Amino acid sequence: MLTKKQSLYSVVGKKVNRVDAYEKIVGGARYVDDLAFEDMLFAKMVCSTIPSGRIKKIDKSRALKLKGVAGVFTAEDITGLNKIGCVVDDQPLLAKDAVRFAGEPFAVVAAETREIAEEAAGLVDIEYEPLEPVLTVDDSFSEKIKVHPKGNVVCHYKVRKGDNIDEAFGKSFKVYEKTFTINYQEHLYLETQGCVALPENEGITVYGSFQCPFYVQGAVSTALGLPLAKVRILQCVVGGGFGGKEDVPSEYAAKAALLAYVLKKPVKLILDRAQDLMVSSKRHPMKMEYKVGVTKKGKINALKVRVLADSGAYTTLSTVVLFRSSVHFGGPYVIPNVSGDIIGLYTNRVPCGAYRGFGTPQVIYAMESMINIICNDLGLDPFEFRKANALKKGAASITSHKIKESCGLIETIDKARKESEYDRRKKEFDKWNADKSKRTLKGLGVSSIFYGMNLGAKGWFYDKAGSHIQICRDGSVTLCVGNVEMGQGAKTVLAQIASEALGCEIGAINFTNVDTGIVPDSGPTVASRTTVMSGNALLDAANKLRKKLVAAAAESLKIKPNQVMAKLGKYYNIKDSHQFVSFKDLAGKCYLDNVGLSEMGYYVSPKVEYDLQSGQGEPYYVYSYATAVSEVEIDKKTGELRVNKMTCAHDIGRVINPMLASAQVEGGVAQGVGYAIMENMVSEKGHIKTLGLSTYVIPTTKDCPEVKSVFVEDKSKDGPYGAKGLGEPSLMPVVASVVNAVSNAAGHQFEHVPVLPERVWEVLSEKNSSEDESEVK
Amino acid sequence: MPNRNFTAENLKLKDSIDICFKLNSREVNIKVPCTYTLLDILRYELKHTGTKEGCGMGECGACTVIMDGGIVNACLVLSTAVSGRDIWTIEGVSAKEDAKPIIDAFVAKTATQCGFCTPGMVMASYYLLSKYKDPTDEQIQEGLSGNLCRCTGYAKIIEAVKAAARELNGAKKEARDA
Repeated sequence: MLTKKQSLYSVVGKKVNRVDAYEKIVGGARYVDDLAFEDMLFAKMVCSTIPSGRIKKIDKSRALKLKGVAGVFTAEDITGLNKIGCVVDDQPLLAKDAVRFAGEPFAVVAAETREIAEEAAGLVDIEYEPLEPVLTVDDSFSEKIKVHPKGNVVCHYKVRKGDNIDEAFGKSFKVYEKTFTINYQEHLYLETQGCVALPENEGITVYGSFQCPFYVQGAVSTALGLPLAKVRILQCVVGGGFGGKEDVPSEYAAKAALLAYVLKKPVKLILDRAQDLMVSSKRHPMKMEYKVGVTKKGKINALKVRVLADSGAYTTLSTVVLFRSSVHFGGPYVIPNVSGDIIGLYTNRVPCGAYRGFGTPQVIYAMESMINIICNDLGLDPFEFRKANALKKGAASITSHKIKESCGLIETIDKARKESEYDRRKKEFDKWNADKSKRTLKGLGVSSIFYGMNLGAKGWFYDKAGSHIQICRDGSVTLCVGNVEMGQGAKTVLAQIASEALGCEIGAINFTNVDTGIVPDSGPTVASRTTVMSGNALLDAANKLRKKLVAAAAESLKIKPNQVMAKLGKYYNIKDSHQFVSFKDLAGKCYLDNVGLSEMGYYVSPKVEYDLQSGQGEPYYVYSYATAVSEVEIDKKTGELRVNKMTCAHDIGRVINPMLASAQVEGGVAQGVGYAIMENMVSEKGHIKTLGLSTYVIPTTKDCPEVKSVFVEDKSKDGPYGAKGLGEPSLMPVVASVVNAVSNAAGHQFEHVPVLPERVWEVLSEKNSSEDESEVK
Repeated sequence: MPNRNFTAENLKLKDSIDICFKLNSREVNIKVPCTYTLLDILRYELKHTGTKEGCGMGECGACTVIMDGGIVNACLVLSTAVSGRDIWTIEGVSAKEDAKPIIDAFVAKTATQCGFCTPGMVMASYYLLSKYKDPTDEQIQEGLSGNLCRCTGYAKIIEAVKAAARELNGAKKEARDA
């Protein structure tokens, strides 16, 4: 039942169509590669072909002789600083003395056509002294070979809670131990990385496909040696990001900007798919050692974890990604004794960074697999076990964060069980699997998650957002925020929030793409933070405007301001809704009365306190929660597997747009299913071999399960209208729940992701032959 | 009649060739480097940027266009094979009356997110619905399986195709009844 307050909302919570849909559907939306400028040059990066080596000589002469080549730039041509690291200064914009991964750029060429640029890139000669590369986390950890002089440890996060962990295990009823490994995942946004840089106003303007225009602004400023105010970043329509366009685009934008700035011509740099797959960041592969102790009553009493994460050749975002791993490795559970070590390690492989979930899907897979093992071993119900250990209001997480509000975890567990019809399906599947004549085995798997909202303790100084709202005299509204639309539906959800707060119709709103010249630095478009951060920043501006509009309406209607209500384009008398003035007329009146209807908004994420030494405190201000149930089917003869259905229950606080929320869940499921059972990035001796979409295989229409999404709305006091984030939680429980389902079908807990048919076939064959043997005996 | 200009002389690298074809019902005469693909011609020469390049290797379907009544990946059609063809792109198809139900359904069902695959997806859907009036789930899945989408998980795209089919059938029925 709706409360009185909820029923007042006329746009928030409604199924509003995407405001950007039509242009995208008819091909009119302008992505960066759709832009062309007069005299534009085309750039191409020249990349290392070995994983580790000292650079002896780079020779540009052959490339420069080619007709149509405008420039070949190496480290020595950089006008500012040769550094690109977003958090730690360990990465050059262009490799100078050494290359540390196969694919590391050491030169960039600009030419009149793409074809000439391509050809010229092949003519830039480099001489290396090859060095033995570090290719595994174990080798890196041993530090026999150092990737960087300072050593191989990028970061080491510790969580220490409760008693001495070994003593705690001594008190456990039963202790379980297992090591898991997980491979890369590639974002595979359909639009590859790219940008166009233009020399303008003694500075530079860069258009591009970015998640974080303000990161790009900083990187370009550093590389060119220009003040930030001379660097303007304009966001194009983004063809998918998923974390892959967080820090990485800065690398390309800085190169293109450098060429444009020196050559005084527009420069376009678009990566082709193979190069994008080779050089851009990935999800961290991890080796995860888990040890879990449970009491006789089915409570987790001790957890010891060591994670070795492959950060690749440079830090990029590893220090923040792995901070998140360190908060989430124990799942959304109450565990009194915890010892966790999350260690990021340099290797001579591609740098790993942000990817939807940000260091959590890996550890969730390991933790939830442990729970599956425990439930199967002790004959416990997977939902009841999770509920018995679940976080709830008043309880504390593994970092001793006492949950004060907005915690719908237990409701998601109950809803997932009910909506998936788990109990009925379980009986059906048991019967199916007992029938030896069936060609397939079926399984169910469960997983629960929590996800800390916004950037948290490790990134609080970035955790701000600005907005700008301008109401034109005809009642049309221009919005600009600092977080980007990359497909997730930000423009629509934020337009709904603004429309609700301003009392205008959503059709009146016109969304401007991010322009660093208009809005203040709003941090990155990551961490599922856009609805909360930009939403609150818009509310801040909208509330200022609403006050002015209410005053004007009170004057027009000859009533007191507190008697004015507004919705859907009308400001009306609360006692008599027929007595109203339209939003349009109000805007016109304010114009003539010289009342300015342009406001900036600003919002800062709630401050949190956290101790990095002990890993204890409040890492994030609030969490989203989810529980997923998967149904899978595996072919006994071939090991082929498919996910037939997924039921996902999410607590994301207020759902601003139910249609977009379910779309987000479906997309997260597809990406998670790919990660769990299909996407296998093959890297041999430091060289990625899967450089196309026929070798790095992502789900098609034929591979995606039926998705049922349900929502729990445990509102967050700090969210706009009580909202929390969903972008990443939509993917996070998927891998664990799918792998648990496959494991339950096969009767074997799979210890490596992706779970490929070959491995399933191997496991089933081994089981068959051992069963055959026992029959013979 | 494929590859009309496919001669040894024309294939010298970087040579330009004259091609003549129909694009969205209009005749196009243009000189292009023979190493260009149909996708390059559309995007870079003719500024028809609705057709997207996602991989350039025929693997993602973002550049799906209709050629002589069938769907193809424009990135796999070499310039030398373009002459004499009847090509339809998203710019032409989206202006056609019988594509309107598809576009409306894609909007109403929120069948687009980042949108990069969407023009190709619309082209594949348009072709699918021209082939099957009332496609089954399997036919839709098969028909769109050459078009990769990384955002949506396809569910809402499939819903949109079904809704468009219903609309198209309803509209045809109304026309018949009238």
